[in-house]
Amino acid sequence: MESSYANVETWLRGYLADLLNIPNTEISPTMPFENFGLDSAAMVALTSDLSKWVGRELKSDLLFLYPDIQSVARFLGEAQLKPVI
Amino acid sequence: MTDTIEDLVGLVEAQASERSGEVAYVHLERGELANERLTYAELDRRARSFAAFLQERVDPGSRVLLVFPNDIGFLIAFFGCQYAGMIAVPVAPPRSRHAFARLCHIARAAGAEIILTPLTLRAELERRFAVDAQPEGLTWIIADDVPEGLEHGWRRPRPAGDDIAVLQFTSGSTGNPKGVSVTHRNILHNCGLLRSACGTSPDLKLVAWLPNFHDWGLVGCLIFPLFVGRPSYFFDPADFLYRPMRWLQAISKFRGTVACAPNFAYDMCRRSVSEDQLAGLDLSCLEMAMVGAEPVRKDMIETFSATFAPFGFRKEAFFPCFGLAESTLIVSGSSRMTPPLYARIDRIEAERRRAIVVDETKEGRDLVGCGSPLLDQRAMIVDPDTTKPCPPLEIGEIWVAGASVAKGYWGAPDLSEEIFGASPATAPGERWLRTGDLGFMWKDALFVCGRLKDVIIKGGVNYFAEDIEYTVARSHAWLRANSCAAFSVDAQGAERLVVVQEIDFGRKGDMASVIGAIQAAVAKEHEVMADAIAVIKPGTLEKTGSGKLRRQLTKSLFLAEQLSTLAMWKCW
Repeated sequence: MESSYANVETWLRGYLADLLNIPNTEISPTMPFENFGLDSAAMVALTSDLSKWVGRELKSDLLFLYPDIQSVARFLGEAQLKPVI
Repeated sequence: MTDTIEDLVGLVEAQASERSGEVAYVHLERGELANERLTYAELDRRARSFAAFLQERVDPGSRVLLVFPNDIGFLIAFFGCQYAGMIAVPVAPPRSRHAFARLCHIARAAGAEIILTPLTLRAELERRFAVDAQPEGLTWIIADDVPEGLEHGWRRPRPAGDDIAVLQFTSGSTGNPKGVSVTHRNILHNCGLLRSACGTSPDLKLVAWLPNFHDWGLVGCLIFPLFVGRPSYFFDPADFLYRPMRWLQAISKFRGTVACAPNFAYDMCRRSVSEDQLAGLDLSCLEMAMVGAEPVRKDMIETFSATFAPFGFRKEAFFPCFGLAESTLIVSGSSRMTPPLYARIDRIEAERRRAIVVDETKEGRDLVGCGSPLLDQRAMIVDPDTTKPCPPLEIGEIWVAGASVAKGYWGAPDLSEEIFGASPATAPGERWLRTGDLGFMWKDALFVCGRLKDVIIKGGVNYFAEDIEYTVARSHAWLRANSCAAFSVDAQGAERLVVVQEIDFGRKGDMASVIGAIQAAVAKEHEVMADAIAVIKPGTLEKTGSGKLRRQLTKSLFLAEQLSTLAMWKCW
């Protein structure tokens, strides 16, 4: 799966909407993940699922360094051609 | 050799002179790659250099907050503090607003002078400090900026065994954290208890990921291996959570003989395991799978053993144990390579504080024995109201005494005296630690029933919150594990049993049937009606930094109607 900015953002919005039972439209890409009520275990689980979707290993603390959809999508979009770890 | 040592500096020095170039620590990157090693000699040299840097800046006895992931950098900073005669205060990296608030409260409670953190955490910390006010008087040191090669400027402090080495902050409440003052002697004594449990085989090898800011992670996984001169293979808790099977795979790959973790971690491995992760897995090397820090479950032991037996895991390797930060770490543990001891106790009798063990054909609550006190550490069961020792098979508060019992809570003399200086009615001069845990002794083993303050009294009967929570969380497939709080409230002149349970992520639909399932399970298992059941959003139940439930806070939120409630049923 190509992890372009737009793809990652769409995937994360869908993931959170599904996880939290709220409409996609309520998910702001600049809202910190923790504001959705995700604890650190849920954030690591999200990272793990995201890594399966992008098809490569991600660092387990990725979402602590990039704490909202916009920054993680930007990071993964830019890092597309470089190894992440 | 280690028996004549008085402090942690002496411990590192002794190992550095005896084992010099041997590997003391292996940090597993992502829980997989043994990329970073530290020998005893390097630890000694780098700790001296780090200490010299600290000594230039603050006085001995200063409190130094250590905010680190589990890595080699933490070890250098931690032992650097010891070499400088400072008091180390390990704190969780603030990965949530809640954890950050806790860090600030700890900084204030400890009167910390310095906050030490690696470059990798700086951005995250600065982002949070930009939003919230920083505790006053904190000097920042980025560990990566501390130069090496300063060891010649080091002045050896003269710590006495009675000096405080670590402030171990316990779960407690966020606004009022309690720092246990753990001395050098406490730690060395507790390492002696662990050695008596684990033995001193030359093959002893720990593979662990428990956090450095927890007593089990610090004393059990990082200091104890040093004490026995055997390597510790360790990694970060986040890397465990990311893919729990990394832990068992690391044990298999590096031939670990000792593993340790709370009940939930073994469950996570079993639940998350996939076929490809089992390929080549060989757990026959594992001689001790220590399990403690939260209630140990019979069904976890049985299902984990059944799942991994084909891959060499032996059920006898499970080593249930009991301990608490106030007694440094471990108090009691079972015997090595013996099958776990189970007791099924009658629920109705237990509610009257009697432990009547029934046979497997009868209904009851299954408990797992946590062995007897190790070496010279002592434990007894005491009636918490009369403070008289309980007769056999009566449930009472667990009291502990011995050289592992810490000095008290930092800066809280009255509370310390109450908790650390309790005397039984029958022996007024003695000093015992009140653990706040309820339990009983059977067949020379300690069985833990729950927390004293979480007992729910309804109709004159005692219900254990943990027992009810366990029932509730398993009553319906949509409910999130380990995310239930049971407590009592006084409403309309009667004691009411309240259950608050999180729904799992991604579940929606008929909440009435969920509530019905909870009600039916509680009534069936405990012969009592829940008076109120609240189903709340996932991830919203109040927990401490280490994931322990905060029942009293949940109760206040329930009363103030401030829970993130999705559905509620209430009989009043």
